[in-house]
Amino acid sequence: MLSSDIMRGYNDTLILSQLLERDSYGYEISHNIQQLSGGVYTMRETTLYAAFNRLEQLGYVTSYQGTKTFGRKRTYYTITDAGRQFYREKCEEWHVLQHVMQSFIKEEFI
Amino acid sequence: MNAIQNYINALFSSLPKTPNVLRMQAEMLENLEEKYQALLREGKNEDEAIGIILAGIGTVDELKAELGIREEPHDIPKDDHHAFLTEHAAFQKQFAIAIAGGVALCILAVIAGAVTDELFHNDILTVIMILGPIAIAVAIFVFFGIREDWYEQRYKEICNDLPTGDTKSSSLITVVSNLVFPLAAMFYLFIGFQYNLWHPGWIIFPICAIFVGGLEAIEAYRKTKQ
Repeated sequence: MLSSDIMRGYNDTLILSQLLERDSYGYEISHNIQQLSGGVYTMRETTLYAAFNRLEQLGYVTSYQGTKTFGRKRTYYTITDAGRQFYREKCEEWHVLQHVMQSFIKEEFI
Repeated sequence: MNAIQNYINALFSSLPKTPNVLRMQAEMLENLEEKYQALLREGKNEDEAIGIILAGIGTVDELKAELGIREEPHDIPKDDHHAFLTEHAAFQKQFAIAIAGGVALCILAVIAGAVTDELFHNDILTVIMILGPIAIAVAIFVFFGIREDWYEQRYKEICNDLPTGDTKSSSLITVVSNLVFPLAAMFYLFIGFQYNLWHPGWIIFPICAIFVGGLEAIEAYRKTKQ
């Protein structure tokens, strides 16, 4: 299991990645993140919904009310152009970080 | 679902009720309800589903950290410290000026005494001219000595975050030590000019040194005892 401390700084990237192809909502995003991580990372609800709040304030996502089959409301999120730009920047940052970290991973000592 | 709703309500209870926070609370609840249904479909029983959900929500501290809500009291002492340090720096300047002024008064006293003696040949007037400025100088030394002591204590507290030990008695000893030598000087000048007892009169200074040394030893002993 990955701790939330380790993943801090990349939660926004995970969330935005789930909105690149289509709009989505809280439970679906959280479920997909867990599945894609192979069950290694479960994003806490507090982290997820606070991130939505922050991303919306930054203008990276917009929200709207959708409906569900049995009538309960759902809040959907759409990624904005600024959000896509931010996602690209975070991906580039990740490549740099990955490269840097690799320099410190000494295989012969593992 | 009641357990989840109660948990969410408790989680948000200490947060400010802004539209954003209320919306987040409602959104979290609606999505957790869906998660609950999904867990039941996966074959979990109700208790298991609630357990999984509650374990994954997170704590109020995490929520506050995520939302950037900081506890107020943590910030106030820092501002307080900053204000104190500014005040302390200003006081140190005042202190230096006051000490220099006190020393100047002592020198002035000797000159005034000599001049008065030369002009009027009046012993009483001469003593007044000497003791007057010295009394003012002593008052300055004592007043600023006490304040300096108080500032130093607080400064040490802030720097080390150590509680001050025996503030009252140690500052009393400091005040006495500060007083002894100026008083001795006054007394020495008085008996010198008035009765011409300069020669055995100087013995007052070694006596004072021993006295202050004794006081400092007592203070040091008290500190080690604590």
